[in-house]
Amino acid sequence: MSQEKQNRFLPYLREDRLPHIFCPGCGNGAIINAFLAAMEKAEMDFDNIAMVSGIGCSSRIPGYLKCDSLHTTHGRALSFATGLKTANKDLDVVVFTGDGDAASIGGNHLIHAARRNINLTVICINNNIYGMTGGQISPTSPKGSFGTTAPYGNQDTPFKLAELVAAAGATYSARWTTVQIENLVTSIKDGLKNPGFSFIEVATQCPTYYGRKNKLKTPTAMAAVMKANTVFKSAADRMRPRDLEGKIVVGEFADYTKDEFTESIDKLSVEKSGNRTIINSAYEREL
Amino acid sequence: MYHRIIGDFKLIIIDEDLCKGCHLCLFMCYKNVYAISSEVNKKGVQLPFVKFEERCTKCGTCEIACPDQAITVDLPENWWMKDDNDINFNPNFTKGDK
Amino acid sequence: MVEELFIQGNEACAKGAIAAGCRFFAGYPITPSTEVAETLARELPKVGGSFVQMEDEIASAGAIIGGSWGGTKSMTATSGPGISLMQENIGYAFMSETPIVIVDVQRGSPSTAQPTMAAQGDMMQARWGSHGDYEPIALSPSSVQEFFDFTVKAFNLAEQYRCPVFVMADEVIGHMREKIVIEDDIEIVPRKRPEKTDDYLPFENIENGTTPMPAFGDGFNIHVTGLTHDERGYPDTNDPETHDKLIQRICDKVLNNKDKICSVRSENCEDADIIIVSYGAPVRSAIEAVNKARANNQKVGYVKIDTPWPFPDEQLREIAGNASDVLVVEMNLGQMYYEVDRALKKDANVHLMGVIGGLLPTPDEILEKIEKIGGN
Repeated sequence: MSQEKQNRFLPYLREDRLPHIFCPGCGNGAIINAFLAAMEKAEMDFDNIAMVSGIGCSSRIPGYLKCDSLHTTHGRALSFATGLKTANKDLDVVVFTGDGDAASIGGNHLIHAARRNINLTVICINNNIYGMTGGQISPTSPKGSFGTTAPYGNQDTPFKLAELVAAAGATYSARWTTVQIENLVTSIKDGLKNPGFSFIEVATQCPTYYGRKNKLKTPTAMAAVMKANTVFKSAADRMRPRDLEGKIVVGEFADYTKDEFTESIDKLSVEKSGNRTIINSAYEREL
Repeated sequence: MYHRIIGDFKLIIIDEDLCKGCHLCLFMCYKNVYAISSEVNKKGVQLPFVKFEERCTKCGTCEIACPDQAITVDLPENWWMKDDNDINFNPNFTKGDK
Repeated sequence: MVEELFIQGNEACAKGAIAAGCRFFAGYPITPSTEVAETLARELPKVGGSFVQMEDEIASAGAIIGGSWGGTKSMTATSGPGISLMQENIGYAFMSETPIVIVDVQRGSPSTAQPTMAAQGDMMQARWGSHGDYEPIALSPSSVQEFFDFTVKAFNLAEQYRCPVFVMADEVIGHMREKIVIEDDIEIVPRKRPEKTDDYLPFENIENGTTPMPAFGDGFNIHVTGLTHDERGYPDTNDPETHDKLIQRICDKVLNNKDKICSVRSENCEDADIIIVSYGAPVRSAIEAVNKARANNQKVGYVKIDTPWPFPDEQLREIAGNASDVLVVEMNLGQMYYEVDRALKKDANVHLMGVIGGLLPTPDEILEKIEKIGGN
């Protein structure tokens, strides 16, 4: 029997741009799938989603998705997203960012967006390296790992992003790896539904640069190491810090509700003008 | 339409043109359904193939884990909804009529 | 109803923004522009707008670009150090053709320098501040009334040409109090929403260069990027022709409309031997200097440049082409001077009176300089 069959994620992708630029075995493609599955699980309106991203491999993702997407300057995705969400709070704004983008050049925007608790869903794809520029160490590279700018091993201590963002005031923060794909889907779903700042850090493999520099030459070898190094948060809470060195702690680090930023602005507007904040006002002649 | 596979429909379809040969499907499948073929596609990639179809539990993990959207499994649309499978698949999954 | 107010320049700017339809402001406190943010923080919620104090100027510039794509006219206000930080995102706005308004209340510079003193040292930063080729539009007010009017005009130009527009004020104008008159029929240019057709291209290479711009959420599913992009908005970074076409169009849409954008004002220039060219606050001294000189039977006139960028070289040549000497009065060590020199090279001797330190050049100082020029 002859049948027509298409991958179920392709209808959401800009097919005229495929195949995407990601290297073989890159986790970004799987995270696209996980996001789309989570979006359906959260019963979101895909047409109402606007994506914002910065610069880097991970930030190329919105360009492949068939929705409004803003591919911005390095590290500034969260500030653009803050403006977009404030100007039109009916949009569901999703930010795709990487470890260099969010933690290094955009670190300030990250903690301030978390502090404001603005209703954004941030998916931070952490591959421990700057992939697009050719394998330099990033603020999340493990101590001792190799990169083109760390030929003798990384001397710095890495950031723990999910914990950092939770401490900065985000109402949802979680970390998973591309190996725990079901948990990742559930977590992104929860993040999308959470009316506040949601941060999902996804530890992923970069076989081309991180793997090659650190003697993990295939995607499967990287995935195997990632799986072996994963410790669930509930178990990690009972472990000594030195036993946790080099481990990836996965789980949810924050999940609660508090006042959301754009809602507060809306409330103020109702109080002062009698109406909610107006949207799409640029197209009006009379205001 | 891009990459629409026409032909005999099997349980698991691997799009040979999209596959980049990372073999993460082999790693992610806990029932070891996949194996590596000795043949290569036009990109020079050693493709995975379904060796033990009868082992498949239709968990769908490989479908999400495939970074290149190359795997399609014969599962109800939106299978990840599980409890509320009644939502009809709609390419744009849109509720409003924008 | 015509409204008459006695207010500060920065407040007038904020009122102008609201009158022009600005409903989103993101900024960061910096002397001497802070009153713009303060006024808008108070006034925007009263008209259904949003005010955000961002974490820095980089974020402010980013937020207003995001706000603009969200379908709201957006503005930020800053001063020298802030505009330096914003430059990368300003370049992004040019590349992505995003209408935004950036108010720069200039202060003593470089670096932190003189926060509470006036200067005009950012003029070239408005022109060349971000990397690469682009054609900015900048307006320079010389009174509180003009600060209001030019802010409105800046929003209109931004929407018309889909590009960032600078309002290059200075500390004198920002902190000065004057009477202004607000007419009730202010002309506002609303953004054009594109028609929803299958062949809509958000960055189409059309003749006048400016395609209608949809807001996010309108269902156009557009991709906006700072990378070199084709007419669909998709990155195409390796094709020289795509880049050439894109940048040429971004520049041409302003350059080809120079006659509509550029504006200069002049007086007593027909028979003048010496013409003073200035913009912003020094215009006030120039006018007084001309009045004094004319009372003294000296043939002196003045040209006031409303739009430093794009530079009105043709208008300037027309007005000042017959004078033997031209004196450029500005509060820096020569920035627009070189533009005037370039425009009038063949016709007149161009002299510079560059005043730094924060104090406005007085009419007498200008007259003194004119005496010296007249001597040779």
